[in-house]
Amino acid sequence: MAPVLGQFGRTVFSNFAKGYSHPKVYLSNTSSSFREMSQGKKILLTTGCFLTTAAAGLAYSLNESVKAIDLNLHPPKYPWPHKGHRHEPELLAALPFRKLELDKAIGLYDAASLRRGWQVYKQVCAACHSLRFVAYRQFVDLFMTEDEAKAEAAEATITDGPDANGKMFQRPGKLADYIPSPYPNEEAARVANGGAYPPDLSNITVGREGDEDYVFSLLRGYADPPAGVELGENQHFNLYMQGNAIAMAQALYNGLIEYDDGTPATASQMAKDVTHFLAYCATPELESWKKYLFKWTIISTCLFGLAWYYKRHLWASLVYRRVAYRDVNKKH
Amino acid sequence: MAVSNFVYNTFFKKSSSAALTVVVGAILFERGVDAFTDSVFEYYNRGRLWKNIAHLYPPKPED
Ligand code: HEC
Repeated sequence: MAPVLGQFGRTVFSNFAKGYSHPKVYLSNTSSSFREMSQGKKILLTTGCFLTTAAAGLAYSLNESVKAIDLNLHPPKYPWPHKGHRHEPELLAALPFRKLELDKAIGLYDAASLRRGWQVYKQVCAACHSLRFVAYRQFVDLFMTEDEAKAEAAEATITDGPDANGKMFQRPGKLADYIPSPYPNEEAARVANGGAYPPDLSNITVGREGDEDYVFSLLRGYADPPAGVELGENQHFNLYMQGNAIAMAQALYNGLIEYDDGTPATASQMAKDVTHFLAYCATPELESWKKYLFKWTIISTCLFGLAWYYKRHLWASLVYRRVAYRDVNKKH
Repeated sequence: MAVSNFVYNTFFKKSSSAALTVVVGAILFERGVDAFTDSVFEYYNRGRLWKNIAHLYPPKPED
């Protein structure tokens, strides 16, 4: 490779040194006469183009109506520990007085909140909602000790089997068990809830537009129906639900449960904790994803450095050479 | 120069030692990156992790 490049360089440079003149190339002098225009005409034409584009843009934006067909209230963004603040101006304003905000990149779940959230799920939501894809073993060292997780599992009754006689049987849960569902099947759940199906909550925060913010807002979004809104039987008015009518009654009230860490169990506190817990259930991999991204950044920076060094190493002989030209025609 | 000569002669001159250097270097580098990542995450998330708060929940006495 290097000899070839060297030969190429020598040919080009010696031709150049000999005063070899390249044929002139004229670029498209038939299609554009802009270069031949006078200064004034050029300015006029440019201004005209600008004005036309601006007028077209203005006309287009004036023609766009405000899209008010969307009757859904969109949830505001909340500063989750694993997602971070997304209100940039506010963040920038307060920056010197605040811990550096890297929650989005390297923030992990808040164990104390997860622990409270599990209590809320277990004592409130578990009466109607299943959490089929979450196992007790996941809680170990995330927000409870192994012994506590074993005790939690043992409280649950798991249907296992079939045994040697082909019968299903009941046994206390083990760490590896998944959280048992309140109803054996969807039909049973519907009958118990007046025809509405309480969805499985394992993936709810990624399954709804607005993610965690939506679930939190939904839990806090109950209100008296405004005049003229007709609700069906067994329906409740909720600001954030699609169509504003939800078949789930308000589940959280101040002081409904008692937290084991003594945090006052206000309705918003419980909503925040249970939503944080459900966010963990939907994306338990988030923590390792963030670590992988961090490691990937470090490693690829190092690899980039190595590649840069190797490139300089390979090209050094070309880049640092000195070339002297001798006029072969001149008599010495 | 002395350093780079020493490095070249001990680690890279023979293909066998170069291969060994690459393998051992990769293992050490990976362990270093892992340890660094974990310490950054633990530092940034201090107070949020279970190991920071586990002592707040003493085991309930058996009854
Ligand atoms: C009394 C039973 C009951 C309890 C308790 C309950 N829910 Fe529900 N939930 C339902 C029903 C029924 C629906 C279906 C509503 C519908 O489709 O209109 C539902 C729907 C939902 C939805 C989905 C809303 C949507 O966008 O479709 C979420 C999220 C939810 N519940 C979260 C919770 C959480 C969190 C708790 C615990 C704090 C809880 N629920 C407690 C019965 C319940």
